[in-house]
Amino acid sequence: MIWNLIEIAVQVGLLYVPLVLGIYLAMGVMSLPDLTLQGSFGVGGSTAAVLTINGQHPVVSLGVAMLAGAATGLVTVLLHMKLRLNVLLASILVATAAYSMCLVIMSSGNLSLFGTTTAFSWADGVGLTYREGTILTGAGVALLLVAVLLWFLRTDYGLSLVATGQNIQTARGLGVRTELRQAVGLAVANALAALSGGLVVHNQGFMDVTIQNGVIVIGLAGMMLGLSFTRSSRVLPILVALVAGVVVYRFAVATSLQIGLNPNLLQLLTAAVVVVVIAVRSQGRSWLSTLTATGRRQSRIARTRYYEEDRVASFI
Amino acid sequence: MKRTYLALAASALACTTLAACGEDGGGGARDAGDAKVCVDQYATATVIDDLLTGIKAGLADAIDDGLELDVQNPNADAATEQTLAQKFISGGCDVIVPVGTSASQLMATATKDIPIVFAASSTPVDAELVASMDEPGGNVTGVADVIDPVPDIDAMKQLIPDLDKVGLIWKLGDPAGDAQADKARAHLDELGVEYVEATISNGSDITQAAQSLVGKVDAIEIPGDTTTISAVEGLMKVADDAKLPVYGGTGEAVAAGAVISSSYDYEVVGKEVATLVLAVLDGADPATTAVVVPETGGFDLNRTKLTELGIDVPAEILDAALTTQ
Repeated sequence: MIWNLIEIAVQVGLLYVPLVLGIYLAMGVMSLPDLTLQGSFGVGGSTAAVLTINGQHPVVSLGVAMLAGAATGLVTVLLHMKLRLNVLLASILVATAAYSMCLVIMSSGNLSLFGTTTAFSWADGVGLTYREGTILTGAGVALLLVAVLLWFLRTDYGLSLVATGQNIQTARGLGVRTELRQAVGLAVANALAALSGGLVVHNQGFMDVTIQNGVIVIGLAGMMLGLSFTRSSRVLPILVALVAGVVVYRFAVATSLQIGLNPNLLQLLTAAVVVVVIAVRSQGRSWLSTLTATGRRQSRIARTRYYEEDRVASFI
Repeated sequence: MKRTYLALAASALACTTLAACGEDGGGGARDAGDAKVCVDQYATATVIDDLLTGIKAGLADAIDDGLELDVQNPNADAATEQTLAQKFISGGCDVIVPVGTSASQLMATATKDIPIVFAASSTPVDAELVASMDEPGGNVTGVADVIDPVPDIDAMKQLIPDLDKVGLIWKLGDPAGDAQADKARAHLDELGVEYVEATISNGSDITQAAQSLVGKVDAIEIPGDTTTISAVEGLMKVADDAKLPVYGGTGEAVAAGAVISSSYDYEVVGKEVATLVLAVLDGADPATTAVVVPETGGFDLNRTKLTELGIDVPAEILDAALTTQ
């Protein structure tokens, strides 16, 4: 029973790993609140669906889907840089427009991939079940992405990307062309989201324009859960935690469905799980230090500093 | 990293055994008494509630005899939907009943062994759920609620003799909405009536779509996708102000103030689903069991609204009315 739930969580969760890594890259590494990811998920799904139906190799269709996602991300970057539009606003605009883009790409709202060769079709050929094929393919993609990101974020270019996200003034002071780094960072993040969309479409055997709705929440929940598993600032533990986070999140959903939780409460449960995990993480350690006067003062200072930092520039 | 890989490989191995024990519902007759029917209702909507009521009523006797009915609602979330599919496959379901086209597509991809009886997909052939309506050819068959806007438009022509222009409102990209809008356009072209299209992308667009038609058309036709039907109250506010009659959109829309619609009673559709489920449990092979298209039956008629709008109703339409308000 538990084992079955774990399998379900792994199977569904792994498909969303690229999305979570994309969100982490955009929001965690680049410090840019990019909601285009949701639109790119749909654009990637549509592109992958159309190419697959036209008989393209799954790798080609997923590859082109990633390019389409990157292009969607670059539109946001362009609005941000040329029109000086806030990234959050620009990305909401582009994500809205992406819905129409999906309809244009598919020239319908729902496409069936029945009888086509998808990234999961190989499992049939070697006698594996749908579930085994999904888990193995998902795991392969997740491993590959973690390995590539691990390598990329350690290169000089990757480090300059991290520096841009951490402290843009210092990065520029060191001679980094920060606007270029932001563009590349968001393009890569959106390509990852599009890959996730393509994988989901290949896996579920159809593309429906509504699959992108609210997908960013799944990604965010997975990311928050994952980040709460580690306090390390090293890349490897974070990436592994992110993969684990999205699987654990899907596990929570599968469990609540299994025990017969009212489905209307499902989204509430998602929010509650994330809040509890974060509360434990942020309050758990500091609780002891509040016993002393110095500790209380320090935590007050830390809190005030947090309030000062956690604000965005005025939108208008 | 090595450890992660091993864990994943182990989980993949274990599911061989589990999947093998889960998928025993393939062929062969099963006694309805100890069987399990799993329903994925896909979303929350009034039409779906009626459908479920019908399914439950149709299976009531079997449930008394010990049939287990498991109804789940993923609230239209793609990832939850997939989780649900897996839960059904490994949960020993003997028949899976997905509601609507996309839920059916997902279930049909997830399992090729467990029989699937879809409920209320209006385009099963286009969605590639079945090879053809008569010979589905796989593990999928079901009940198709093919809504036909043609009778609505004929009735409209009869009620408004000098009909010149019709407004069409549907959700662009909805497989049912698109297909039915195509039918409506083709029929209007045949009759030589002009039309103006106003599409929505979600329910909240409907007021604006309706307003864009005011002053341009003599009547509004709803070809009939669930999103538009669910938001029909918004449309009625605008239409009432402009004194425009609204046609189509099933009994749901008529209850909200549309004048006439050829329609399904979804409780009846649900009962058809239940009958089909029982047949499959008795050993009918989905591959050779034709997709059921229930009779539309006739019209739902809103006489109060027609009187308000000053439209006279000919006797033949009154005779064909299933319900009158």
